[in-house]
Amino acid sequence: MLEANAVKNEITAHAIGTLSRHPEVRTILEIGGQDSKIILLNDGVVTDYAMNTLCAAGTGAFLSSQAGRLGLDIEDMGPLALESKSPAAIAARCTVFAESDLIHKAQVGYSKADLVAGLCRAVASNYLSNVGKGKKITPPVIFQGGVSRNQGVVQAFREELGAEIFVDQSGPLMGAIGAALLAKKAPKREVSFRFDLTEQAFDTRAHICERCPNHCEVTRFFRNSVELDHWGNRCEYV
Amino acid sequence: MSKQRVISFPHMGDYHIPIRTLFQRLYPDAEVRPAPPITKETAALGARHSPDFICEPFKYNMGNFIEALESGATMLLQTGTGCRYGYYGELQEQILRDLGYEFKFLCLNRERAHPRAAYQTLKQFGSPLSVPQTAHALLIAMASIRAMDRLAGYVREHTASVHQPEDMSQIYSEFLKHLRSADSLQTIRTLDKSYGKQLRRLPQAEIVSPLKVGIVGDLYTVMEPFANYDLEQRLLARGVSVSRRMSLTFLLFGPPRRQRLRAAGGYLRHPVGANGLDSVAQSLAYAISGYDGILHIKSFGCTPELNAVPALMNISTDYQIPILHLSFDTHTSPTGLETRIEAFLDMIAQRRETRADIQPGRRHRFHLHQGRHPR
Repeated sequence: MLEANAVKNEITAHAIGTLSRHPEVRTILEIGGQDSKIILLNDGVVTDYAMNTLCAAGTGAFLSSQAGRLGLDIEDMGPLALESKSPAAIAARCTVFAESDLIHKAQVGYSKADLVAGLCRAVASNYLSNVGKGKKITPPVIFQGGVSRNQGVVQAFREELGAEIFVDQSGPLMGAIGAALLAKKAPKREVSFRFDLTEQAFDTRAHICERCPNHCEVTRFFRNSVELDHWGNRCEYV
Repeated sequence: MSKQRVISFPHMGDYHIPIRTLFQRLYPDAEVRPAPPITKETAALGARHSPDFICEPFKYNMGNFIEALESGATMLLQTGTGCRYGYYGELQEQILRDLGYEFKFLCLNRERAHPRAAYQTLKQFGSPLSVPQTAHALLIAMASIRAMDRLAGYVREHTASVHQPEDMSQIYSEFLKHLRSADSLQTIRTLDKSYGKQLRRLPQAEIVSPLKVGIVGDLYTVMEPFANYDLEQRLLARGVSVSRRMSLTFLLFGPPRRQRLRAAGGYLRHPVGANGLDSVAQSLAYAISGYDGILHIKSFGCTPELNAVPALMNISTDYQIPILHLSFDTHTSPTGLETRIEAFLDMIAQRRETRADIQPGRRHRFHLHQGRHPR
């Protein structure tokens, strides 16, 4: 579609991007809206990584839904959390139960700041026990992704890990920087990247293939009515 | 009861070919028909009639059984030893009977898998074959299984290094086609030799040394491509040389327990059920022989493989070899799998580029995590 030079996934791209700015980094924590990952590096090479597998507890989506419940804007959560002196203990193994626990703690009379600080801690501890499970986290640690804008979560990680956590202001761009670096390194191709993306007509058509009982959902992808690719099929009869 | 008996059995990889030949010999007057191929429908059907937290092979088998019965099977086969798989037969039979199906159930699990007991059961179900005739039928099945595994293993390891990878799979599927009708040891031997030769004669690609990845894990998920979302094909398509020691040959003729324990090199001191020990021993072998990475795959909730994980983590740190753990169940998303494989391959490729000088070597031998016996 884009005639890109290199097609890489977010893990590789983030690692390369971050390394270009911080070559000494050993651990990258990343929490986004729906997924969270951890990347471990040694001497500038990715040695291990993990991604959340089962659920979205401990990601940005969880924080923003809880912010909504408390009547807060997501941007206000960080500063508010830092005001708290005794964060509420919130059971955050599961998003749904965390919400019940939050309501309970609110009824008991915790202040909003304590509740929000509790949520931030819950995100951090959930991340470490789910995604960071069994991984050796060595400083320097860089924290990125949307949730890294939340000072409360940064503070929680600092306490949990007992290490300094760096947040780069250009953190959200690391993936893009990494992708650009990888494209630069990739072998040159005849066709160049299509910057005229907005002027093209793209179309996808999905249908269910009825040739066998497997019923694959096949998606066909067209540019200006020319089929570029299809996917979702398990066999070649499409 | 003049109706012809129809024998059917669940799928695992391409092994339906030798199993079918075997049972056709054992029951010459019956029709032997493997269950219809596994599809999403099979998986959904199986999951609907299985306990939710049971491991995935149970669900696939269940789906296979129901579809086989629906298409006219009157006798089903099941086997299993090692882990709770050994108890699946009884439970599956009960569930199917509760659903109202009528069928005969030939279940060679646990102690019933031993030769003498197995022969008696086969007789009970009306096999007219004598002991030597049964042994002959078994020999033929074993020979086909060995030939299949040998060639399939070669294909996995060398697809990445031939000029035209598609030739490999084409030759192999042609071999399978001929194997279907092979009915003597001599034919199987000839097929094995001639197709082996064809595979080895394929022109090699210019680029040498593809990434080398070893696959270990629970037997069903490793061997049934539907259950692991065609993991091997995905790797081969990316030009990776894939090795997997787990196969029916390994299960039937693999090394004895003591030897496998020794092969685990102290990372496990006791068997941990089914093939957990083998996953560790095989991973260690891959680590020592300088593989780029290991994929550890299991069905969600597989206890033996879960037991193997801590030992695998130690191997990973000691030998500096990345191990990706993948758990499969009927809720797994192929896209998520694709992302993880991609990132894993990127990672090992990067490592190889930058750390070509670092040779894997043995560091520590013993760990405390797995039950040390008090003296």
